[in-house]
Amino acid sequence: MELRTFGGVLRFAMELEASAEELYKNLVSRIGDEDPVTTELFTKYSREHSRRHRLLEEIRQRNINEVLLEPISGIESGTYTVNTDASGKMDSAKAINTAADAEEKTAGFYEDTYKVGRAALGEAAIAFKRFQQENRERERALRSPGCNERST
Amino acid sequence: MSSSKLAEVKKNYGRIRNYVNGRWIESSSTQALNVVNPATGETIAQVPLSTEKEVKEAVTAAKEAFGDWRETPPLSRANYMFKLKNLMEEHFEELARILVQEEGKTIDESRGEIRRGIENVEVAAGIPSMMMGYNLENISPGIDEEAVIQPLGVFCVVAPFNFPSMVTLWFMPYAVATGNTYIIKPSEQVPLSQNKLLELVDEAGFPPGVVNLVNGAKETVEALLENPDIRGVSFVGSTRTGKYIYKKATENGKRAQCQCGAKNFMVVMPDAELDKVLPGLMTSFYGCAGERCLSGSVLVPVGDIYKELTERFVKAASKLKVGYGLDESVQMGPVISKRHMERVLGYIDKGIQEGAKLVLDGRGLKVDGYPEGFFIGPTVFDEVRQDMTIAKEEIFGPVTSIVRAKNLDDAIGLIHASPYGNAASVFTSSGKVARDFKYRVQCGNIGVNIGINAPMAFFPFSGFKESFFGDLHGQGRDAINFFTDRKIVISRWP
Repeated sequence: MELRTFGGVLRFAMELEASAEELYKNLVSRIGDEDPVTTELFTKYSREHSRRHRLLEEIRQRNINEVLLEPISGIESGTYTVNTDASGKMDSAKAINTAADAEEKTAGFYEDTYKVGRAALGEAAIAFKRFQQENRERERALRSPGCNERST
Repeated sequence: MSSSKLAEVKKNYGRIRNYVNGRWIESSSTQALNVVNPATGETIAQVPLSTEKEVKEAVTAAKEAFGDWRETPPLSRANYMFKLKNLMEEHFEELARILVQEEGKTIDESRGEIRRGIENVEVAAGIPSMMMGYNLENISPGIDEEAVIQPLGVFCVVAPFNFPSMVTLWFMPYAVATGNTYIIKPSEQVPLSQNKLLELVDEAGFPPGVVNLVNGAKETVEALLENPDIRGVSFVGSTRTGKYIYKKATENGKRAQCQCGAKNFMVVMPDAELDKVLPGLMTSFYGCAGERCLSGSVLVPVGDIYKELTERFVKAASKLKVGYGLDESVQMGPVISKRHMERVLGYIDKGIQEGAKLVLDGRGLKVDGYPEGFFIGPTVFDEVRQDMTIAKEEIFGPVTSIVRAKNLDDAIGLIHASPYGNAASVFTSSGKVARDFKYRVQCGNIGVNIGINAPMAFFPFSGFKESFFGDLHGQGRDAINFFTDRKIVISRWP
């Protein structure tokens, strides 16, 4: 679905954050007790996504005005949807890869939306830029040899 | 993921009540009107048409409350504004959704309206500094002179249907923060968001009688205008009603500020960057379904930009998603009522009859799931002449008239031929053109590369000619001056 309004973009961003929070919770439960370091890291990331969700809500409430009601085009939500499926056991290495993929996808959403809708997003654009950087940092950390070696 | 339809706050709000002297009161009136959700066509509440006696009771309560409220230090009055602001923030989404249900605008437009309202409460919270007077020592040997700013008594607002929540807050916070007491008469078509606002006023703990709400229609307004204890009235609505209210209020010795109709021209110069201009034009002409006094109504391409602008404008307008505003992907909602829809459709018929070329037809639009909604799609007329009805009268719907101009002088001539003077915008890359436009154009709200020239709370919401009757506008310092008088004190001590 094409996101064509400020509210639509913000709502989708909130949904992404909620999905990421849920994904990390699911991954924690799927890893089980086997890897406490990864579990702790995922718990921390889950909390951070929850905090970002709240921040987006505040930004929407504070910032909306006539200029932000101008239509936006070129952002397809389907491209960035994160799968939060949670069934069965998963080893740490696979869980870390799943998390890294999700961070990459989410970073892509913030990056693309920032490019397309910077002027129309106001203060939200600043948050999007920051979120994209955070996602990339997490993705790098998750894909780093240290993280993967530890889990294998 | 991304099921974007938000929930309605309530399916039905029942028969709504008045708020007088700090209490919710059932009106004794046997007459009531239905409040209809414009997207669904369903009745969502009944609004009573309060009696003259009920208006009198509200005015008496406000008058009695005035003495103590005036005595309340400005800093304490400001604290009530902070409380109200915080409560509005807490209930932000609920307020916005109620607004969608009763008025039909999109959820983002509603959020924007609530935000604009809150901004006025914030500005009014600065009353201790904004209400300061001034003085001069030694105007003559040993004699000092000062001007003190004082409130006047009971004021009221007659609010419109298109911005029910924001417009009340252009006035009420300033009136109350400066020490007056207040009566709100919401539009009978959209009383619900103001009903909710008064719940928050009640929760904020404003003393009884300081802020009151009386529901009703024409007779209720008449009773307010005739009551000798009302010191002033603020109105936003049509020019015809505004003129009447201004005349009657001032004849009865009241202050009046009446912000009225509009016919706004959007002038696009040949050097305008269309990629940047088009989103602004879309929200200007079709935001709030064209039911804004700042909406673009006449699109004026200047010179050779006409062909490209027209093609791209029509293409962009045809892509706008129309539907129920609680769906966050919707970009334009319905118009307010069946009656208003018929009025707008009547203008479209008139445009065709008078020879304008209908290049995008919004009639007969069907929105899936909402067969009873009052929807009109974006509509565009090309080859509109200045003498046609659609180029002259306020349509207040999603209808654009394209009137070509040869140059800037020609475009400004078109604007000045209109009896209205609410807003006008120019889209250009030239500083000289922009400067000429803002210097010369006789409209109260000017935009340069902006489609909706909505003044922030700390600026007055202006308007010239048939768009405004009065001296002082809503919002900011103008509002403070409207709700206060200056008393001069000259002192000499032996």
